[in-house]
Amino acid sequence: MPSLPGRFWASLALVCAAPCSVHSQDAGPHFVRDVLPVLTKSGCNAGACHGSFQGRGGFRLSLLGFDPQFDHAALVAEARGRRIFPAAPEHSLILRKPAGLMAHGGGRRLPADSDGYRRLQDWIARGAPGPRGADPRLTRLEITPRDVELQPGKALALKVQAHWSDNVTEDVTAWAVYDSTQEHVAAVSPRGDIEAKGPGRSAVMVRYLGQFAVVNVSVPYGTVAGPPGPRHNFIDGHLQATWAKLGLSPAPLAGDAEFVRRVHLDLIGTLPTPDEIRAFNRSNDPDKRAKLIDHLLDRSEYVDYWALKWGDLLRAHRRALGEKGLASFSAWLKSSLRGNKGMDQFVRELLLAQGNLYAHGPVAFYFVDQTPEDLAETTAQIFLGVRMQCAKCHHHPFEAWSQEDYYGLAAFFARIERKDTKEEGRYGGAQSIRLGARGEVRHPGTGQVVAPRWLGQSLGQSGEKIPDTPDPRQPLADWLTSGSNPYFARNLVNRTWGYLLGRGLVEPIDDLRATNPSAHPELLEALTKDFVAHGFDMKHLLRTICNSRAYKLASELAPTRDADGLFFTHRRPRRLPAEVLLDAVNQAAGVQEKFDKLPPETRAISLADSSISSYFLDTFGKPKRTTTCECERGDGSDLSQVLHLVNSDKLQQKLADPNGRLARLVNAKTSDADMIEDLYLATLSRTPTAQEQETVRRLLAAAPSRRGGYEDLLWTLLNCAEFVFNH
Amino acid sequence: MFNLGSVKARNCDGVSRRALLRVGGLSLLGLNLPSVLAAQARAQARQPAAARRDVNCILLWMGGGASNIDTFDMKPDAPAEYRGEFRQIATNLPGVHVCEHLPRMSRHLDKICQIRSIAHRESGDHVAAVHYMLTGYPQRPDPSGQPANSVIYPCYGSVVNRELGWRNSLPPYVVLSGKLAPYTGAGYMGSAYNPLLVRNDPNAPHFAVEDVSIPTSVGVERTARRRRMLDELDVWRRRHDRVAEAVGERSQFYQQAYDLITSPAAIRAFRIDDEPARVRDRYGRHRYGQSALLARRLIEAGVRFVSVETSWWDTHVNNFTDLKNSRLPNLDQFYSALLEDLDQRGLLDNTLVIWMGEFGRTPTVNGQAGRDHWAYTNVVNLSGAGVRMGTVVGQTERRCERVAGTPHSTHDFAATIYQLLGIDATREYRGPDGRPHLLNYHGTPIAQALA
Repeated sequence: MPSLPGRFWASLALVCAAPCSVHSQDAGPHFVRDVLPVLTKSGCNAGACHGSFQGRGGFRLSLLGFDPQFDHAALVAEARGRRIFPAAPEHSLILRKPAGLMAHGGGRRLPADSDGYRRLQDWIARGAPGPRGADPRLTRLEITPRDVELQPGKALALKVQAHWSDNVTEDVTAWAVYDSTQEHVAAVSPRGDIEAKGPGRSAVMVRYLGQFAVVNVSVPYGTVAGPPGPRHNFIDGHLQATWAKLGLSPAPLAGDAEFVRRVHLDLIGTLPTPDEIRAFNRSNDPDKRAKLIDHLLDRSEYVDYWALKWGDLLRAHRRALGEKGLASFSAWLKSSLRGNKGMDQFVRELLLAQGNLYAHGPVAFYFVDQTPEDLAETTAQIFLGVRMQCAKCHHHPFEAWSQEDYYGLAAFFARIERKDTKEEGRYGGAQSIRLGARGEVRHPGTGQVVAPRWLGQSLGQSGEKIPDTPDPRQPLADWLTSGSNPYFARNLVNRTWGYLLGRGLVEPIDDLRATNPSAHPELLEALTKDFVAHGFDMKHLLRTICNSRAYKLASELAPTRDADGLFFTHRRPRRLPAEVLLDAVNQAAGVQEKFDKLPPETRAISLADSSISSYFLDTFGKPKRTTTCECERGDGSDLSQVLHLVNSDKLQQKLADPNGRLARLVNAKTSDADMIEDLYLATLSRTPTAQEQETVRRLLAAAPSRRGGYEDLLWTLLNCAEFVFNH
Repeated sequence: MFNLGSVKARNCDGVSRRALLRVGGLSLLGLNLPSVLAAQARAQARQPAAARRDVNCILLWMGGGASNIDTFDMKPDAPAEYRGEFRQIATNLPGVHVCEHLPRMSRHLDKICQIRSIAHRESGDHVAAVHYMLTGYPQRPDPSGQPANSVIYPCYGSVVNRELGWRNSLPPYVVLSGKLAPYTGAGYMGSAYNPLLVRNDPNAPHFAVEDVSIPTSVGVERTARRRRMLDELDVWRRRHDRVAEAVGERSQFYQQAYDLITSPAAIRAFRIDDEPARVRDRYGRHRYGQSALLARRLIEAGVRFVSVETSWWDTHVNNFTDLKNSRLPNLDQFYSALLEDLDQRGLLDNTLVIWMGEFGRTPTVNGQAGRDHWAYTNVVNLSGAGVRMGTVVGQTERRCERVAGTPHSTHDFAATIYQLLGIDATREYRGPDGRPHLLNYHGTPIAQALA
């Protein structure tokens, strides 16, 4: 099919919808089968229109039609039945408004000659029946094809069939709703026609009456894949297969200098020192990269840096824990990381924590969040990568989760009680957790008590009965941390991959769901299996990823690589996180930051408390630890950040510090060549090229003083994108 | 990202900054930063008419919640425990009175549309109420003021930043305050749309703006030399600017940062010493007076939205003494000076002035001669561009406990502000998690306030 402009598709959707082809012995029409698809397809029940919680213009429908009873009542019974006129259907408000015959805030959505209009008209004329128990149910959606490979510019029509419990098969291609994850790769029309826009991979989601399915679309970059280079471990095999299929060629291996900087920043959040870089560059050991990875995993900064990440995720904060509680939690966190505790054990200790916070750090989990609902959301988000927030209030439109799932998960936490044991300090505040004799969670809609249930139990994914245990959290912890849990290990693997490669195998890295498929399902599966087989060993996972060739690729982009980074053909540069950047600036300048009430040698990555006041850290996006979303950490750039590096008196004071790196080098009468090399190593982690040496000397000659000139050079290096980015 | 529902009409985002950078980053046609900026300028040219009129805004923020009953909504006939100690005086608007401690303001009521009908429900927590009033969205945060797992919406200034962009080498949104208060930033839109914060006190001798004014320890010449060094040595950036979105984005902010710190307009605007002594005296020789004056200078120079923050209105104790002795005289001075000055310079025609805080204060006086938080009544004053000045919209009941008649919601108020600023309030944006958010949740602009 030739490619057509999007506007043409949009108009097609309304005027030439396929004729309705329901053949049924039951006279019908059926509200769900015949009416709801019209409302959804026309956008009536979208979140921005009548599907919003407050409705629109006094008329409210359930979001995307998840509650047919409610919708029927809204159409037929509410507003004293003004919305439909069975005697003269065409005078019904629900036809006149969207047909553009009466003022309608949402515009003309159902022209009088459209099939949707006729469906509604017919339904009204036949008495506007509502949903009945005996109505046929939608049993499954069948979509063909499911895997599509298209050359750029080519198009393909999807076919969507609905199978009903009364054995009716209905072509609903015209009534399904389509969305593409990557519109610049695959555009999809309202009629279900996919057009390959540009190379890459996209998922097209097809939704119909609460069911959904995903079609994978691949559009190759070229026909000939370049040489992928040797494989360093199983990761590379999976990626190389994808590259070959899509005609992609990876970047060459990063040089030693780039690798040494990258792996330091990724594993320990710390720049390598000039001496460390020199030693690495000097070594002829063919295994020196693998050995460096092992060495870094044993450094004390490893514990600081990953404790910072977990502190962010678990939102450790003095406002919830108090100073002592925070110290207790941090001690547990750091000792867990130092001992490389299996992540299953780590999470079990959090979930099953009880007793006194000051004596037992993981109890903090139950002070950061206190209601069963919040605990359920955090548990799903952090440990499973599942976002449940939507299901608190409504059926998630793109997800399987219902309010039953949400409150079922919350019910595991219903018996938690906080006690003030008065054993220690903290007058008036609770600091102990224990299990109460009773406690329950009720569904806000029905008011019924909800029994605990694992996520996915309703879908038959976790079928077994939940055993009766003294601590209701026990079966939750067992199910959650099991190697067969469909989310737990996968979530940790995906997050870790995202931390190291700058983009998750599933992206966003904390949003695992059927409608957000990975572009690399086999790789994610293989890494997850390996992680489980190695006892949820975090260092093993980090080591495995860092030792892959994929991790060591250079950051160069070429037309044969994917610019979006979806296929990991090259390293994607990303800004250093706030704490890492501040430490890097201080290390390069040879000075120490003074945080309020903390010893001068305290580094920013080792701060356990996110409430420490620092303009630098706030400006560069240190999270406040108020949400479980990874997106809370600001990783973009903005004006204030740039101004603070370009033009701040504070930075100038650091450059001019009488005990700083520059002062020491100048006082030691270091030669120009050595000075320049040392400053390059201390900032960009590499030696200057001959041309750079020359340029620097020429620029320094223009400076009024030697010392001043070197201050300018160090300022320049700290402002280079090459310094501010991890690449 | 998937769209929630199939209504795409609202998603016509124009050309977003990020999208432009993506174009700049991915194009092999050599689209570079200047052309990105040009495309952005074209995007701006497509803004609605009010925006092309270039409406500016000065927000006078009464942090803590100024007492409405002791300022602009006096209740002389209420019992003593309500009406308080102050008497009312007549104004240049017949039938409208203000507090006796606002004598200068009494001559400017013709330049104000007083809205007494805005009410909300957050009388407990300051920062939550700030979120209500600066974004329109009701939000219940945890006691620390940071909502756990809930969405932070962008405030008016950040929306202006995103929708209208830079002008004359000056950032669109500047906050004059000791530190950035919660909810005065861009929320889910990301820090790129946060304000430029001016922390230093413009009343201090040798006022300079941290990170903006070139530090004396470095100087102008050396700053220029450093910039040349950076241009020459940052080779890696040049290689990655066009191919890595994050790098290109940062480079754009470098361009803007240099534009700002070297902009003659900005340098002049911050040189508050250039202002004649009598003008500085007229505004008041204190942080707030000089901040209001600086706000006018910044608007003149090209900033679109300036927020002047005061924080001393939380008068739980000694309300009357404190108001009488310092707060009201200060306010009277700089608020009247600003309106007068803007009017005389013809700036009021295209500058919206908002006087507001997070809530009003209790109509009853408490045991410590103070008034506590009260969100059910409130006064918001609007002046300038597009405002029906010289009017009072809505009334409060006899004792100022509730709005008489139907109150306006914070969403109605936000819709009013967006209309005045020429921003389409029905726009939809995406948060970093992909969730769609309406800029304004079905608010209706307060028609009586609009000219």
